[in-house]
Amino acid sequence: MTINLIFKIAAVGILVSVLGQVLKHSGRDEQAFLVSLAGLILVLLWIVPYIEDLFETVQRLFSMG
Amino acid sequence: MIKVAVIGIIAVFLAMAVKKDQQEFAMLIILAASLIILGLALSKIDDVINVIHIAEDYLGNNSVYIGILLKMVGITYVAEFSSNLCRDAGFGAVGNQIEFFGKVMIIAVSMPVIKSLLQTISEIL
Repeated sequence: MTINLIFKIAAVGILVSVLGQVLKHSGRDEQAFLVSLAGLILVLLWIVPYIEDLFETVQRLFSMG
Repeated sequence: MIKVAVIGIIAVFLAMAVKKDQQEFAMLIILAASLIILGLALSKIDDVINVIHIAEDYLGNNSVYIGILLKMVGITYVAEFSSNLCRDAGFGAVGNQIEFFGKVMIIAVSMPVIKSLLQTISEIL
């Protein structure tokens, strides 16, 4: 879980930026934006469970909220 | 400890690499790294809090204050975590709002303590 999450996100980021450049140079700016949006949503789908899980642990630990 | 430092450094360099083209992914890498470090820290905090709960039994009736103290620590930590993240992304206003709400929450949480303090003082006088 620990380090490969960061590598996955970096890989998606680099892939999206390369795809975006290719699409921009071939004149399709909308697709470039859509690709970056799709990459963003994909990474958010990965990260949100971790956020929810960790903050739930914090709430349980500190008996708050 | 070394693991946490290495994770942080790797995440920072990856974020810088990605930041040129895509700012969002740099922030997501930073968010992922801080979440991982939070996860590692929570396992250590778990042991500390177990000891605190053991000490709580010796306090008897006013063990409520330990719970309030822990709540304050939790609120501070979450507020600090999110407001620094917002400031890192360049949005200081949101970070300050979160910080301000954290202070308000701490005051709200500590109301019972102040009330009982005033009661004890009025009994003495």
